[in-house]
Amino acid sequence: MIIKINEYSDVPIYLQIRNQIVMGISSGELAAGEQLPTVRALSMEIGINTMTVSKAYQILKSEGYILTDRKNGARVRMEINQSKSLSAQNKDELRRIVSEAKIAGLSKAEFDKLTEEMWGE
Amino acid sequence: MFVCAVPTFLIMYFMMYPRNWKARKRIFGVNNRDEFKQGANEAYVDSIVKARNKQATVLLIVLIAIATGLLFVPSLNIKLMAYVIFIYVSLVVYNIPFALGNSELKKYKKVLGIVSEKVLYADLKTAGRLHALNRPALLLADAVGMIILVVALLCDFKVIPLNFGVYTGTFVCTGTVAIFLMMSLILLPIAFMVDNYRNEVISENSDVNTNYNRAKKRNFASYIIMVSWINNVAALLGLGIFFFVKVEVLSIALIAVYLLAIMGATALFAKNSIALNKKYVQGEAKLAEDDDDYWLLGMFYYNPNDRRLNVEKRVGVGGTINMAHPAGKVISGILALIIVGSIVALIFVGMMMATPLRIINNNDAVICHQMWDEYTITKSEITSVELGETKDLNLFRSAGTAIDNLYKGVFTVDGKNGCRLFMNPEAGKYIKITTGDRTYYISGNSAEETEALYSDLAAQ
Repeated sequence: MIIKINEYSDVPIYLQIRNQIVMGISSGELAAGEQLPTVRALSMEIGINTMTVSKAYQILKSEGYILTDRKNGARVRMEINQSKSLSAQNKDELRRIVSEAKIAGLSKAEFDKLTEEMWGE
Repeated sequence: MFVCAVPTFLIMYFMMYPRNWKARKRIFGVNNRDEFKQGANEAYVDSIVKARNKQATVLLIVLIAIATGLLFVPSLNIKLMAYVIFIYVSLVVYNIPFALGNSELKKYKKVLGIVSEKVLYADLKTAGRLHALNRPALLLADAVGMIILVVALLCDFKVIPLNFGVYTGTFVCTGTVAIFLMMSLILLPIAFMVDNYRNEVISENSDVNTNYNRAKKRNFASYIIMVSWINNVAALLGLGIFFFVKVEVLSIALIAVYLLAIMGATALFAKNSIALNKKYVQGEAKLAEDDDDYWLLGMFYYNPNDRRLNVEKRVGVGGTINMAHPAGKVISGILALIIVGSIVALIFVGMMMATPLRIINNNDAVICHQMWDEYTITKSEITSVELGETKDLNLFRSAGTAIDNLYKGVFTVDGKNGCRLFMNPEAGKYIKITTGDRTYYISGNSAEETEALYSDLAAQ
């Protein structure tokens, strides 16, 4: 899986890493139990501070997407807890996106089609 | 120097100045882009590449002609000095078309409205996991080098009864072997460093990235191991030449063969690198980080946002440092000092060659003076004075200067260590002065001057 970090983006780098790993798990690019690079290796690879990668991994761990241990490094969880609901923060985000879609003149059908496509990715 | 310089120019020429630029990943250190290959852009980029390549070809011919011409300089010392200056100047001059090409392409990017998006890529499957260095093979090569060094040491300590003639016990053999071993040991951290280089992301497909980076690292690792074995063979031969009489001639032959072998290995490595890049760039390469602006003139990497110290060079061979990294700044400073220092040393050697020897014969002492007082030999301590011919001496320098017209410093003379020399070998004659604790070999600038001094000393 390829991670793309945009240095000009307003989104902090640790969040870009976190988001892309979550998307990778969702799309199946990162399989359950798959080994992730160590904090040091990934920071060297992107050329960023180790603390940035460490922060991204800590968030992923606290959200239940990955497991970390000193011996094996970081791995995607074999079974990710399915809460069957979106977090309040994500609901707010979705609300914002729906609002912007409405303002942009998107119909519900078009919006549904878009989400359908993304769901399949 | 000639054996080293000419193949280096040729390798640089093929790596830096591409014939078929469309197949290259980078042109003059600027990422090759699809926009460069479209319509009128293609013709413009082509004209830049052709113009700069033409300049490089002319420079290549001129530099090889100068390097060949320098072979015919009569004095070895002047020849060496001329070669050192020539190498410095040629390295700068030879890079000028490359730097100009780099600057023109960067400007053209702006004309085309291409702005760096500052996107960095990392492949999670290869990050930190891809290594191609055969560590046991490399360590074995260095271990063999160590064994050769130990054998040389044992010979010098006379534990192993091998006869190196006048060089036995002088540690000259050990020194020769140590130089080759040192070359291998310098390569050891470089091999590990390159093996840990970040992996380039050239495709969305992780397998392509894996294959490309592994092949690249394997090519370099094989090169380092090959060079380490060349060093071992050279060390072994270096030890072997001391069994023969014509050590000086054999040494020069050994250095020439050694440099040829190194150049051969480098050429092979460069050829494989070009082939590798061609294969993947023409095939699968789709992603490329646009970090052109961080490469000053396409040669010097200065990126304050990059935490890495060492990065791969843009021409595809070797590595360089990030000059914005704190350690990179220190290393750059040291390198600048080394370059300035070597130029100062060159000027100093030139001054020494041009300054005649002066021996001041006082009532109390003999003072050897050249630029400053080298030795003061108190006459009351002199036990014997002898006159001899320089051609009969068997000399080896331990520390000091040994050039055509000047032997100065600590030498091993006819197997005796720690002798102090202050003589012009071109004078043909020398005076051997023995004191209670030291032996001096001195001379004036001519045989007559030396003989006159000897007569004075012998009379006193």
